[in-house]
Amino acid sequence: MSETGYRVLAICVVVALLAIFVVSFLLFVKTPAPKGCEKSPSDACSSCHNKRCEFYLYEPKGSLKESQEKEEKKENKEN
Amino acid sequence: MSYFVSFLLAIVSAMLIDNVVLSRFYGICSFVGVSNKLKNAFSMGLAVTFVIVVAALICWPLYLLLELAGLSFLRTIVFILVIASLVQLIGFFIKKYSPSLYKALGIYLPLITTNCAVLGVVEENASQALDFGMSMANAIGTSLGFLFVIVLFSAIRIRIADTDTPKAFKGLPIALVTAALLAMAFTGLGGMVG
Repeated sequence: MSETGYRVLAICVVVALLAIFVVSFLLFVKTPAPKGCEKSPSDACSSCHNKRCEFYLYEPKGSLKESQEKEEKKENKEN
Repeated sequence: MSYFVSFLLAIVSAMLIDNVVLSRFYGICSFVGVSNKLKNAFSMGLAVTFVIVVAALICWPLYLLLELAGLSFLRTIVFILVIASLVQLIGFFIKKYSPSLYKALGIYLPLITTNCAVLGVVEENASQALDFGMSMANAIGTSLGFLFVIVLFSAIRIRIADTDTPKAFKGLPIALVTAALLAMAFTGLGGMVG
């Protein structure tokens, strides 16, 4: 195959990849989440700041920590 | 030296001596961010391992085609498209067919897409013009190296969390110091494989 032939094939492959990307994105977005996972952890809670969350990543500091402790006390009272 | 032995040595070299996080400094954000719990670290490591190996498998023939077509400058875009599509498709399949796996790994999918270790491995395979075998050895070794160090780092962080760390060092600062010490320790493995 000549270089032109390879070039045409390569461009077709790149276009196909773009199409696959768009289709995979649409499939992912349109597929309903399983039961119990309707909200992603980042939506369901401020997962960066909730220490009890399974996906807690960062140690809150200063006023953020104080507000978190206040929230925890509030929840404990309600329970 | 037989090709199989070279293959195995390439895996060991990519995993330990030229470790993706501690020597090449790829994937540091997910390495530091997801290593606070052992279970999360292990899950993230496994997911990254799978994505790196499959991405390398797909990108190698694509790069060959781009080379033959004289379009190798398009490789970065093509690799990004492959990785993003792969992660989206994996997300779709686990969302639809394995809710428990989605619950465990779903949050990591965006982290894997943007993990520079994945793009770094396929880009390295291309820039060093590795053959298929060595590309796969690099991918397997790199991904196992990432899994190894993220689990190791997570285990150390859990222990440090229970100790009396100075207030100024709690959380991220001591984690970074630990990572630096680990990186220094891994330099001691240099020269192990000729």
